[in-house]
Amino acid sequence: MSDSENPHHLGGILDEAPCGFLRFQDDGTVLRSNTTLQIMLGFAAEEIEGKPISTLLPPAAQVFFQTHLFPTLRMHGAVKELYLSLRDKSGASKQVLVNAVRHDRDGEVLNDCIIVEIVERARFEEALLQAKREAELANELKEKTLSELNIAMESLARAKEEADASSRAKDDFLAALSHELRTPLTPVLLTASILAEDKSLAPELHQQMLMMKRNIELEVALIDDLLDVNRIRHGKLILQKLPIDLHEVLRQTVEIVSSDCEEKNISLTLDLVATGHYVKGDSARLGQVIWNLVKNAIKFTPKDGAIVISTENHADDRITVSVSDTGVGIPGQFLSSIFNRFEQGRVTGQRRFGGLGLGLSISKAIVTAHKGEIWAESDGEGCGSKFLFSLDLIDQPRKKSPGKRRRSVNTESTRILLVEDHETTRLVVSRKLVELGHEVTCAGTIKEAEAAFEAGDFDLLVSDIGLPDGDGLDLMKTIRMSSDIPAIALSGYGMGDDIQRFEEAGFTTNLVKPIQLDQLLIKISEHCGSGSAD
Amino acid sequence: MPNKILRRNNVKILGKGSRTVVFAHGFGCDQNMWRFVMPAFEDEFRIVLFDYVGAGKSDISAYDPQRYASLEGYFCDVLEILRALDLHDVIFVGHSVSAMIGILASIAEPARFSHLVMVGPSPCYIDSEPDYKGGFKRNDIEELLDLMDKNYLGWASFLAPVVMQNSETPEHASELEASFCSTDPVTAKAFAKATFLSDYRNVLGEVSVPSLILQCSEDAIAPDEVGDYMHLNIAGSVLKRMKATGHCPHVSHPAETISLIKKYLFRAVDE
Repeated sequence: MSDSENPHHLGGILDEAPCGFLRFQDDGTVLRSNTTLQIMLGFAAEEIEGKPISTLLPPAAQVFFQTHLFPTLRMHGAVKELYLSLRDKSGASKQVLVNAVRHDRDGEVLNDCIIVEIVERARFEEALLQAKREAELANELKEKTLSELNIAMESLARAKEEADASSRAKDDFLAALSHELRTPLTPVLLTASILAEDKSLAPELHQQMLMMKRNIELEVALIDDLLDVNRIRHGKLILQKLPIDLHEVLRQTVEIVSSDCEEKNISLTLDLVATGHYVKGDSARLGQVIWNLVKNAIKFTPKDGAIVISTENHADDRITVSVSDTGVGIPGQFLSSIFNRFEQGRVTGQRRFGGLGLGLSISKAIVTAHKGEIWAESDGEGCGSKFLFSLDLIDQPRKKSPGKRRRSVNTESTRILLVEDHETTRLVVSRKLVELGHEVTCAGTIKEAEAAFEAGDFDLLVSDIGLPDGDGLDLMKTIRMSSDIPAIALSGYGMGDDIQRFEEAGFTTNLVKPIQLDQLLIKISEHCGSGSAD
Repeated sequence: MPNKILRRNNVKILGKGSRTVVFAHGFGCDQNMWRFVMPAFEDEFRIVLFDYVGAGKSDISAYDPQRYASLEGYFCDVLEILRALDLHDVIFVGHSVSAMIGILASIAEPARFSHLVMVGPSPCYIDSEPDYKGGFKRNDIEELLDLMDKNYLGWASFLAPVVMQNSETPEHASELEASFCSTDPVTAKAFAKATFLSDYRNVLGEVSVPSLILQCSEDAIAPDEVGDYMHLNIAGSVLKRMKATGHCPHVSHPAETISLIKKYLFRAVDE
C-alpha cells in the first residue's frame, strides 16, 4: 500500500514537523510515526509501525503508560504534558513530553500523540527534583531527630520524676530516722547533764556522768554528720546568711571544747589578730566548721600538746582562720584528699582515732557554700598540722552584735505547756523545769495539748514535732489562730528547710534533739524572761 | 464509625441483587476505572465501589504513612468496608495490585469472600532468583518512582481536572467528575512503593476462596509467566488468557472482561 493509499498517511508538514508524532490503537499497536520521531529514536518506520507501542517504552514507562496515560486517555479523551521516557534503538532512554488526544475517525478509535524531546528542561527538572529529595530527606531527618529528642526528653523527665520521688522518700526516711535516733537521747543527756553538775555526787560518779554526757554528744554529732553528708550530696544544704562576727563564733566554740582540751592537758590559745572579722554567713554552720577543726585537732594531738586558733587579714577583704596543732601531722600524699568523705588522712593502716571521717568533707562543703576556701598544711607525720579557711569580709554592722549579749537562764516562773509523746523525755524535762520553779503542764498528744491550751493560761509552748495523732506543725497552726504565745519546737529533724517549715507554722524558735538543758533554759529566758536573772 | 469508614474510602453502592460484587481499582486511578464494566453487573448484583485512601475522592486526611507503607493498610481498609456494610460472601473483583489486596483480605477473613476475580494480578513485580520472572528489575521500579516525581512536578497540567473537549460525547463530559483519576502525589508514590516493591508470593498457598485469574496478552506489568505462577500456586484458581492486550482490559476491552467474569460467576453460582 502506497502512502497515498494509507489512511494514516501523514502530510509532509506533519512528517517534518519539529516534534515527534505517533498514532496508536487501543490495543497498543502503532499505526504511524513521523520522520522526526524516527530520527529522534533511530528507528526506521517499519521498525515502529505495526509493532506494539511497548517496543518504544522502557519498563518504568510501560507501567506509567498502562496505569496513567492509557486509562486517562481512554476516559478523559486527552492527556497534556505527560512526562515519559522512550527507548531509542540503542536502548537508551529519551526524556519526552507527550500531548495525546483520542478520537474517532470513521468508526476507528485512534490515539494521536505529539512528542517533544526535552533535554535542558529534563536537566533542570532533575536538579529541581534532587533538591526536593534532599529537602525531604533533611526534613525526615529533622523530624526523626526531633522525635528521638522528644522521646529522650520524655524519658529523662520520667527518670527525673522517679528520682525525685525516690529522693523525697529517702529524705522523709532520713528525717524520721533522725527523729527516732535523737528522741531517746534527750532524757539520757538531760539526766547526765544534771547529774554531772551535781556537786554532791562522789567524784568517781561525777566522772562517769561526764563520760556519759560526752558519749551521747558524740553520738549526736555522728547523726548530724551523716544527715549533713546526705544534705550536701543532694544540694540541700540551706544556709541562713546574716552578718556575723567570726571572732565571736570562734570564742563560743572554744568555750564548748575547752573542757576536752583540759582533759588531755592541751593548751588552747586564741590569737585573734584580724582587724576585719565580720562576714556574711550562717553562724551555726560556721561554728560547726570551727568545732570540727578544733575537735579534730584535739583528737589528733597527744596529751600535753598545744592548739592555736588564730585569725589574720592577708588581704583587705579576706579573713583567714587557722587551727594549728602539735599533733600527728598529715603525710603529704593525703593533703589533697583529706577533705574527701570517709578519709582520715592522718591515719595509715588502722583506725586509731575513731569517727567516720565526715567532719572535714562537711566543713569543706559549708565553706564552699560561703564562697570560701579551706585547706590543710602539714610538714608530714609527727610535725603537727594546720587547717585554714578564708572568707570574704563585710563591713562591720552598725548595730552591736546581739551575740555579744550575755545570755542567761531565767529564774522567773514561766507557765509552760510541754507537748512531748516520748514519756521519759517528757518526765525528765518537766521535772527539771519544775525544779527550777516553772509551772509545767504536760501533754502527750495534739488532742491533749489542745484541751490543755483551751483550759489553761500559758506563757510558753514547748512542743515536739512528731506526735502520735498528727504533726506539731498542725498544733501550732491551730494555736496561732487564737494566740501569739511564744513557742519552741523540739525536733529530731535537722536544719535549713525544716526550720523554715517550723517558722512558717508559727514556732518562734526550735531546738534539735537531744535537748541540752542549758539551751532550753536560754530559749525560755529569751522568749519569756527578763534576760537579766544571772 | 461505619459512616466514617464509608466516607474515608468514598464508598458507592449501586445495582440490585442478593449477591454483592466489590470492584477494587488498581494503582494509578480510582473507582472510575470500572465505569465501562460495572454497568453490566448492575441489574443482577449489588455493586460496591470505593477509592483507596489517597485516590479519587477518598478522605486524604485519613492518610497515615505508616498504615499505608505496605499493602496491609489497604487490605485492612477493605475489610473495614465489608464490616461496615456487614457484607459476607462478596465477589471481589480486583485490578492489578487490588488482586493481591483481595487475596490478603480473603486470607484474613475468608467468610467475607465467595470468589476472587483477579485482573492482571502479580504477587511480585521484581524478578527473583533463581527463576521467578516478575517482569521488572529493581532499577525499573526506581525509574518508575522517578517518572512519577517528574510528572507530579507538572501535576496541574497533567492529571488535574480537564474539561472534556469533545462536545460530541456530552455523556462523557457530564460523567467526568472533577476528581477523575486524581491522585495525591505523596500517597501515590507510597502506593507505588507498597505495590511494586512488595513480594507476597508466600501467601498464595493460603488462599482458600475460589478465584479467577484474567491474564491479558502482552501485559508488560503482569506478564504471562506471572499469571501462570499465580495459577500454579493458588489452589482452586481458574486462569483465563484474554485477547485484550495491555494491563487494563476493563478499560481497553470491557466487553471481553465482562463476558469472562460473568461466565465464571454464573458457572460458579450454578455449581
